[in-house]
Amino acid sequence: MKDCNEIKNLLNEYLDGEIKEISAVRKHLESCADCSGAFERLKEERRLVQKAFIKGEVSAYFNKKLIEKIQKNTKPGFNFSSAPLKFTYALAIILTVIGLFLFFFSPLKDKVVTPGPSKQVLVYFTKGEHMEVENIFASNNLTEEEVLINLFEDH
Amino acid sequence: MAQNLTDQLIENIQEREIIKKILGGDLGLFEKVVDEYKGRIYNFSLNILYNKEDAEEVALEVFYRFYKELKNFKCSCKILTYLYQIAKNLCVDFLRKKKIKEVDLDAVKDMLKSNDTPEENYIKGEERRAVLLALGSLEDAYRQALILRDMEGFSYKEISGILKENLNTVKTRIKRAREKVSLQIKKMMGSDNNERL
Repeated sequence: MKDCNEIKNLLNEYLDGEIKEISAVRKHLESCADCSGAFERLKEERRLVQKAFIKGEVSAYFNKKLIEKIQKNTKPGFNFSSAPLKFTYALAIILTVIGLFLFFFSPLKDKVVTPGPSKQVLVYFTKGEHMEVENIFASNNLTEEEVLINLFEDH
Repeated sequence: MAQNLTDQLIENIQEREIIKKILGGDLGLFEKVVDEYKGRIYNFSLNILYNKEDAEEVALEVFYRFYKELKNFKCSCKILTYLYQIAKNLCVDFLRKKKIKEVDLDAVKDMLKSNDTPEENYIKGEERRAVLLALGSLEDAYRQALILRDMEGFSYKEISGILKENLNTVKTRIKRAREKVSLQIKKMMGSDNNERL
């Protein structure tokens, strides 16, 4: 049997429905005017507190500001869980591997492109320890990349 | 707020699906989540900070961080609980940055003016003012617990999850917050109103 002090200590939990000994508290309140009065005051004060809380609404452009902030600061490419992006990254890796393969095993590996006299482009290739001129291009309009492409096509 | 286990499991699965879809790029679904919860997060922040612009700034940041951190979302709690956790931390940081140690009670009084109709203000002005000032005078930790309980209706267990405090601490804070508010109300209203209460 709980005394008034114990009951008063449980009134907050009883009010909030967080108590196991509901029937024990209820029975005591039915027969004790002092504790019952304390409970009524607690209920009334809670009602006043609930009415006093300030309630408002966000501005009409809240969502717009939020989406703008997300789009400004979030880089979609870093969303690793996105399927199209996974495909893009996989493709980039494959192309890098192919590129590295061509770089290391390409017949162009041993070629050196250098500007020669009279705006000609000289291409050397290594043969043992020597470098010999393989091709000479008139280079007025040819870029180094175009020279290399021509060489690649030859091979 | 009490749910049976089946309802909880269903809600949990539904929330996991929502998160998965948002991570997949469904911004429209994210906006629906925002629309569902922005009011509650805003009002929670408003009753901590007592400033509409600051509360909106915090609410915006809550949802931005929620979106940004979503791929790391490992919380076994509900989305709403997670949002409140972020809101609580941001409010604390906000007050710390602004070096606000005590609530500006003038700001609290201003909030009263903007929310009440002239009639409400006249009839219940003094009473509501006393309660609001009493709430404003509480320490942040007590006020947070009371807001989550009496305004938001969370259970003690849910409040414990949001505030990351144990259950006994939550019970004590709510009890003490109510005692302090009661004492303040009695001081402000005087003995006449004490009888009425």
